[in-house]
Amino acid sequence: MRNKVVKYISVVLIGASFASCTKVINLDLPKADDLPYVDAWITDQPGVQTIKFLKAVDYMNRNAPEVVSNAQITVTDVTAGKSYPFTFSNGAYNYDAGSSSIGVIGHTYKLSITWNGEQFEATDDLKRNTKIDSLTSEFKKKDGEDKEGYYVKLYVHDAIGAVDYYWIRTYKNGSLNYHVGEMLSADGSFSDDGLTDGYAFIPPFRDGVTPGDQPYEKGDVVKVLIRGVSKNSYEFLQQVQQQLTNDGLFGKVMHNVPANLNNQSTTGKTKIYGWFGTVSEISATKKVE
Amino acid sequence: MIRQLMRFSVISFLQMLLIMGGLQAQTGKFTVNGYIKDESSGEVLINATITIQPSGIAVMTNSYGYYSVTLPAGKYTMLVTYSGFKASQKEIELKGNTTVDVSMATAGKDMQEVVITGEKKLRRTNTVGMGIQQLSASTIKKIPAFMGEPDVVKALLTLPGVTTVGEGSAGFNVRGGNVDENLIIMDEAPVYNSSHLLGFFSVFNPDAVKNVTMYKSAFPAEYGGRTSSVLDIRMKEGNNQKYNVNGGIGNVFSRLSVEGPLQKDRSSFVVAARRSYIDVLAKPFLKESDRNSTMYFYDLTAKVNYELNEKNTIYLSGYFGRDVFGFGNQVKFKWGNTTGTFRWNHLFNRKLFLNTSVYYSKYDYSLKFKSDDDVQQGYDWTSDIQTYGIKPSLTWYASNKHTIKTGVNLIYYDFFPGKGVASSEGNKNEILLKRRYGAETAAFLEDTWKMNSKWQLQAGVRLNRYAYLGNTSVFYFRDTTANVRKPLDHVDNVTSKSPVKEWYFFEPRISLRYELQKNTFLKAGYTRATQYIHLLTNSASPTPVDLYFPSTNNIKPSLTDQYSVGFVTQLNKWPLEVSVETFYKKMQDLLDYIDNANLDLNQLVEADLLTGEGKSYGVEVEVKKETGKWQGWINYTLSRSLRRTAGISNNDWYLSRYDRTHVLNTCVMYTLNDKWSFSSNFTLGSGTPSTFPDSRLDIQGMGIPYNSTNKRNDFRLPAYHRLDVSATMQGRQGKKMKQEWVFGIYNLYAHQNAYSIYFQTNKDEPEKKEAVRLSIIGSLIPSVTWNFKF
Repeated sequence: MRNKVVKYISVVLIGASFASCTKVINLDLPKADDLPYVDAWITDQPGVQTIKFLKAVDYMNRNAPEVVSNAQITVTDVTAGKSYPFTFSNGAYNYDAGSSSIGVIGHTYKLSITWNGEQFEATDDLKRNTKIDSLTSEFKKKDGEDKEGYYVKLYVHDAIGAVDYYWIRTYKNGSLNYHVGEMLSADGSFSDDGLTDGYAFIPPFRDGVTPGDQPYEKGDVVKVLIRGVSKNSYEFLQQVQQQLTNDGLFGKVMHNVPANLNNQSTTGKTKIYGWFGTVSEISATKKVE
Repeated sequence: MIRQLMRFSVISFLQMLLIMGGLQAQTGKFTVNGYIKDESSGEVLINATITIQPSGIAVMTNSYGYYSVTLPAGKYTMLVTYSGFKASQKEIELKGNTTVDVSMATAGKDMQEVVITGEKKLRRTNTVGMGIQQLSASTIKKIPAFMGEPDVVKALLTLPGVTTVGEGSAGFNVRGGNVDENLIIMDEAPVYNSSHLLGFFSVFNPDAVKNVTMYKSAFPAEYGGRTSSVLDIRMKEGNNQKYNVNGGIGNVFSRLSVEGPLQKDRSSFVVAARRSYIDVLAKPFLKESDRNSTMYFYDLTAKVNYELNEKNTIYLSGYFGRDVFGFGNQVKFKWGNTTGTFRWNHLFNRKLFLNTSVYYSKYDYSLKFKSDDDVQQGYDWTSDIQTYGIKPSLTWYASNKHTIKTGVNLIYYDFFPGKGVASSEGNKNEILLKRRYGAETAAFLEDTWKMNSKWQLQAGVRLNRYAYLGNTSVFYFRDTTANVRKPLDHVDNVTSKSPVKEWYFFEPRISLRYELQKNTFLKAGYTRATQYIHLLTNSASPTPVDLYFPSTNNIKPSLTDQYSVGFVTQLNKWPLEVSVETFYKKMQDLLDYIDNANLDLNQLVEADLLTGEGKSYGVEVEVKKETGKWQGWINYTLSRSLRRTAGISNNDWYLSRYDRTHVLNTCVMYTLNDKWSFSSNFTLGSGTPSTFPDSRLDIQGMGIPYNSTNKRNDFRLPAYHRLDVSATMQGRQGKKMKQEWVFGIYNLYAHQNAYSIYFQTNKDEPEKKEAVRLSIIGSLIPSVTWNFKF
């Protein structure tokens, strides 16, 4: 919460000082050391689930990362005692759950990777979600920095009881809208102490699905995806978000976000970076007309 | 041991009061004492020098303008000198104890000449300790200022060893220490947030400031509770001769102060106020819906004093300041300091001076949010820290060889970490964090000993007790891997305010000065200081909503030992002071944070804190000229500031964010004639250390920056440099009204200094990653200020 507040003050003050400026610069960054990493998020949705095993590239490198294809990857539903072996095809590891799904709300999952003779594991709990009340759209004229266009609003209430963690992503015409940042919410606000349990999501989320610098146009299809995540995943994502938007007067020292994938052997030499997350998903779509 | 010593010293302080009160002059010797004042305003002069010829004894006035010197009977010439004033000479024939109060006249037009012969203010050559720097209100006003507004903290930044992490950042760093390690006191009351508008201006109104003294090492024993520096700000008493109105109108804010006698020669007051109007200027840049935004600060400083009789004077001073940010009806943030000080000066006899200060200080903030649409939502958040203190301190001018200062200091802290209230569609929830309490007790004793014509020693000791008090929930955590949140073990609800945990510290403060030859001195010193309150902040610059938090059963007090050695000389050929100071600082139990520390309304915040160690060392070289048409200084600092915390940067030493290897400051002031004067300020320094990524991890479409070396602050931002200039024109000088215009340009060659470099994904081409340089001041900033006085 405080971070958001502070960021807000900083943005307005810097804006108001009208002397500040940002500039994209050329920076000679050191070379990456090919850190292997996995991108493993399992949902409660039917169909194909995908896990990627890649190697890190130089930060500025625009090329797609190198794929690691010689690993054995299995996801286990610890609660139900079921295993889902993933197979490598088309540059990723896949499992087709058909009309059912791997993910079940309330279950605990384990990711197991065997690679170069070493064993890696991570676990996560699949948490519940809420339901989206509505997506609305409204035409607005230019207002200060906000450009003229269609503004979509997201109306959601937090699920009552327990602290719920949400990851909100916005898609425009089928692809992730990078003009809208990743949004993370606890109980519909930024407060994970139960202060806003069951409340409507607060304005930064309500208005946050539309970027002021590029509002929607007639015909755009806007999809909002809400993922219910565990507290651990929420904290991981919070740190990722901090690293992705480390701007302003009150930016923080860059640090490596800790991951949950661990080498099972204490003497293991190989390191794989990765976060294994299990999520429940809900979404709503609005065609701007 | 220390505990018994403490008790003993508090009791002996009281005894000393009684004993010394009864002491009489040594046989055949008499005491000359009195106050040194400014003739035109009646303001006492701090650190004015009184030289007695033919004996050659020199003494200085204390913070209340008082001096006392004991001599054998005889005839003497007394020379009183103070920067910017005509030297005053008096013949005295000492047959008995004598009071000589001196009112000094300002130097006026023949200033140049008089100043050259007469000036002897608090200089490195006439203090025993090292790392002491003094700025008078007039010097502060001469340095080119941001937006044309003279500023105490910005002026300090031109001194060696004082830096910030960038423009607009709050506070300042001294010799590689954190912002919260500076004891900032205004008339003895601590000030928790020294910044307005986040960090662009400081909270001290230069029109109400009389004197600013900074101690970077060699803290006098009377100061404690912070480890990096002491910034002692004394407010004006107010003119007790005639009414004066001072004011100024500038780009950013306006100032007005009124001072005058309540009873001529005995009592006076000063009231000074400022109000900014940056919000008015910003209006065209805001959204239509935010046009009714507010963004301003104001402060009010007031002081009265009353001389009850020759032996008793009382002072009452206060400060109230606020920053207010509001956006439409939806958002309102407020924060600010409130301080109040009551002081009583009492002369037991000519040799025994007592000052007792009682003070209160509060820093608080509140945040309010309200949704402006159909969903009725709101969020309110408040937090504060309050401090109550009392500090009786006694100066005994025992003999010409010994001046002894002793006293006690009791401080009580009341921390209110926060209360949050959220409402939505008619529902309301509240979260209340437990208050925390702390108590600091200290006793100090210091002797300034003129051993012989060559050697002087200032030896002091401060005994401290700090107690973390109950009447709160005390949390106990289990130890775990470094840099990971500690799991809660259990909670004790302590109902009484008895100490939950207490510490005792013994702090020696020693300075030694040796006169190598006339006006050339070698100095050495050692200072230990401890700290019990900490500003919880893990961002680049502290924010107004950061919390102060006490040392608790989970957070050890931090402790710093500083050693320094130096050399200072007053050149004979040129009116220059040249000094070289080296320092080495060892810091223990510095606060650090786990990577994902949650510092927001977090009852278990202690689980996210780490402690580490630090060290800093360096050399500061300064050449200063304070007389003549050309004045100014040039200083260069070469230093290092390092930290080591388990779990961070591979457990190795890393550069702290306050490390600036090289810093060069030059400040030049030139008086052309009665009408025009000019000044310029140039600063050049190494960029702040920073951490950059080398790799990218594409996870869920997010290109996460990753640093495979895991080393913190392994890179630096580009070097920082900036030139500011200003010109002051004295306007038409009427009989009653005086006026001046100050024209300034900040950042003359419009250099875009990097405040930070951050990394982002290009919004239109997500596969493209960018490094972005943020400059807080990206262009030159001209300013015009009109000052008046009548």
